[in-house]
Amino acid sequence: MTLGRLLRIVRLRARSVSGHDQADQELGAELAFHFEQLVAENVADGLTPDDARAAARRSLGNASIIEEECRDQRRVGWLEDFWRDAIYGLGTLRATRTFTATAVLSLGLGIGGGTAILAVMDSVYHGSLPFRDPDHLVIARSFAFAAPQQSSGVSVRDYLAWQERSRSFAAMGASLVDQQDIRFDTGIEHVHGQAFTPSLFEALDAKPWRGRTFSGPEAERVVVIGYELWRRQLGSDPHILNRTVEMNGSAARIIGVMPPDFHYVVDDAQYWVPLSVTRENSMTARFLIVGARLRPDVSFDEAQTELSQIGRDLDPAWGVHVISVRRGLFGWMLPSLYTMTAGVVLLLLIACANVSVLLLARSSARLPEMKLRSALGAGRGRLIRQSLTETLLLGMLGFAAGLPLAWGAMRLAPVLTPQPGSTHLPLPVLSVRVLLGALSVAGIATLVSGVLPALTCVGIRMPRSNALRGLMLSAQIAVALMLLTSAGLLATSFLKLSTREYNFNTRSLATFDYRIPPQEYLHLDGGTYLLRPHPVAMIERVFERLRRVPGATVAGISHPPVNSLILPRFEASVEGSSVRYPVINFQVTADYFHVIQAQMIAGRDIEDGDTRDRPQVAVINETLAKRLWPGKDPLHKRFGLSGLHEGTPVEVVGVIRDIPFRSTATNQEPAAYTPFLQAPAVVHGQGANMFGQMTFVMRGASSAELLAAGRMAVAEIDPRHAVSSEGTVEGRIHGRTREGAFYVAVFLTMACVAGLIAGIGVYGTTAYAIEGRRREIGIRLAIGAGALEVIAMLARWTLGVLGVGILVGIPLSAVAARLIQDQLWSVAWWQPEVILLVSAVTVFSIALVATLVPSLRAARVDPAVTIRCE
Amino acid sequence: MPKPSDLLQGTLDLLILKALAREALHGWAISKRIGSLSGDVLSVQQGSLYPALHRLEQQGWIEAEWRDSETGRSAKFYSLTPDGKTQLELEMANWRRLSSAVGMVLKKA
Repeated sequence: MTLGRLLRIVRLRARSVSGHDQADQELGAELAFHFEQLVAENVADGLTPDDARAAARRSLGNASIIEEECRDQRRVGWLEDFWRDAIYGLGTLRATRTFTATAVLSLGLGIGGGTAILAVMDSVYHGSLPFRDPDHLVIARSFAFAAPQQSSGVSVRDYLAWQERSRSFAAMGASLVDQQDIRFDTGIEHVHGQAFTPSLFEALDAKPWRGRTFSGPEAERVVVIGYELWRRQLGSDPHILNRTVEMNGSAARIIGVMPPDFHYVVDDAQYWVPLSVTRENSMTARFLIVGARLRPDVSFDEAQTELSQIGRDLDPAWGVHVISVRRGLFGWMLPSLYTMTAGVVLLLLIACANVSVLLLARSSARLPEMKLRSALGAGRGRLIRQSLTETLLLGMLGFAAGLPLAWGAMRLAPVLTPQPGSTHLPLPVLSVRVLLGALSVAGIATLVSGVLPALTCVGIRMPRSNALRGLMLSAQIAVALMLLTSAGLLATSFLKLSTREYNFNTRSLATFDYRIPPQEYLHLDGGTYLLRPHPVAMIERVFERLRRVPGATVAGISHPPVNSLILPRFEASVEGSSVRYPVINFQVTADYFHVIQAQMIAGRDIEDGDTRDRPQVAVINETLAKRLWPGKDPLHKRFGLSGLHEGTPVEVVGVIRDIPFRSTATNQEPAAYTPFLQAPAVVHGQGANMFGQMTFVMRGASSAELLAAGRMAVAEIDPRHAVSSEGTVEGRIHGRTREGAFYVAVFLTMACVAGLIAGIGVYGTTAYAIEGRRREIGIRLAIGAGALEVIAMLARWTLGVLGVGILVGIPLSAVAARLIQDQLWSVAWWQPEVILLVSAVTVFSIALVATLVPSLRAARVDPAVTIRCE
Repeated sequence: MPKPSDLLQGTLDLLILKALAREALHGWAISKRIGSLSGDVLSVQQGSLYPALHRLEQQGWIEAEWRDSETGRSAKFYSLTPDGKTQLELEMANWRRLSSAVGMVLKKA
């Protein structure tokens, strides 16, 4: 179509709308001219003027039909009709306020929830990240084909091979988590950061806020600091560049400051130091996180294929996952988001069914009006359009009501989440894209809820419209039940999780980490690490000093007892068998199990006497005992422990009841606890730095006092290193479980709203049905029916509908619960008590409100009034 | 739906466009022109003519202008737009192809 023609058409359509009257006038004049010409021709043929006119009129036919057809050519009739229908519809909606409020509220809740989810999804998939063009950034992780679900870091060997051989990437870099003791004016602080290869800054293309990032090998020790660190600990010093800070005892020059929102993979990094990955490093330990920028013409899959191929040559037992940086950052929240999306969709369906049912009830009452309009010449299409216009009004009102709801939910969410900003999800906003999405959701909702009522109102009789209504109500109840059960299961799981048994006394147990940086004692010697000076000596001194803190019992373990980010995984074996069992191996101090008050099943605790010159011993958990010696007494048996105690078997001196390592873990892993004093002097790459760290736990009266005493004790023995992660064991457990609380609360709210909407639907329909039977009820009461009988009569239908809904809802709930099984902790998907309880409560409350209230009102009315009321 | 006319729907459009090819005409003159050009074989009913004219105008093929007619009365004159001229050629080509195809069928059958 040429532009000129397009403009012409637009102008004509605009004129048809705005210059409507003038266009009609011109049409009349045009036809009149034709008529005059016809008359003139007839006169010229010899007819009298009167006959000529009559003949012309005959040949022209009904002029108003021609006019109407010409008007139809303007193609804007529907717009005028729509406008008229909208105004008429608004009037109708205003006249039936309760109905309108109910429908708008239901739709608004559904559309509002949908909009909020859309906004969050938009923020996950399109939100701005602190890197240029994040959609070309990928993160590569390794995984063992034996356990493909569990991804791990990348080995130096793989990383170097990828860098040399791959052609898919414009830049590739690696990072490591790092922690150092930094000296500020206020004292030494233990700070978390990251080590970045210069190429990683290049790949991320993240611009510093001040100064520069590393560009290549640096001649001296340099550091790029985070905005928060600059503001909080360096007093927002405007001349920060080129200042030096003491990090782990030696000076580093500050060359740049990153902007406030910069973060990559971990959320608590406050500084970045250069990382150089060379063949000097241990080649096979998998600890690198690799990030890369795709070349513009390379797809995800191509990069994945290429890296997989390179990896296959290196080690056939390991594969690689290439994921988008967005998935890497936010992938963990997707399961909950998808579940919530499903919940919102169901909620919206309930709302639509509800509006549909209410409209159906109303449209049967409006049948006379529709019949009249039809008799006056309105076609079926026209009536359907009118009915749909009214629904569309409801949809748009629902949209308008839903927006503030979505906005409020989005504002509230960051406040209620446990650690504001910890997710680094860009704040969801109601962008144009989200609004358009929400608008289409509203449009679809309109169509879904409006079609059946529209067809009914033109007298296209739905087979058994009463049954249809019942069916839709039952469906609502079934879906609401499904949502309520899912929410009930999530809540049950959450409750179980927050009150779970840890098999040790978590109360009043203060904890902090003490750590000697690996650089100070790890020395690479061929393929193994030498520990020199051995960090155990310093840790022993700290431990002995802590033991002298009055009023406290103290012990230590190499990793936080619960919710440690890293678990030291090794392998165990028994003599005479080649099977190697995975085992988690912690280093602990003497009295550890006594201090945490763990339940010993057999044997003894780790003791002061378990030193390097004594036989190697271990306390193991029940699961390891069952794994290694099923059905036998494990005490004083020996087993091999890979990596650390290669060659020398370890003797089991004690067995404890399982202690879960993570508060969300349901399956127990085998574990061995060995005395830290028996740490080896030479280790192979993996786990080498666990010997320089100790998480101390102290039990006593006041956690705050214990922590203060602990801090002072460490400062006295080792002034060069600071303690970190001070807190209580309960706090560490609590921090994790609270993350689930928000999710459960949102889902629970959504499910309750669904139940409420279904209830409103039943109430509305029942009330409407009763309204139509007022006269009948009056007569029944007048001829002696008791109120109870009337109520029973009215309730029968509703209760039937409820019954069908519940019967369908229970298997549906089981299916839904099966789908969210992965998110349930220690709760079976078929948890009969939850389902039964939820259904009982749902039925009871819906039945009570929806049936009894209107029936009671109807039964209480004076029959004389209703019968006379004609 | 427009009433069934004596002419095929598309044919009427083609005839109108062709009638307007040389000069601007009002509706009455168009019906006369079609009649005379066809040797009085084709007569266009007013009931079909005016809706067709309005449709063609809304589609941008023709444009209208009010001016004095030969009798002195003001009348609505239609003329081809540049797009209309292209459309006319296109439709004429289509028509020729169609009629020759129909002719072939009739000859062979």
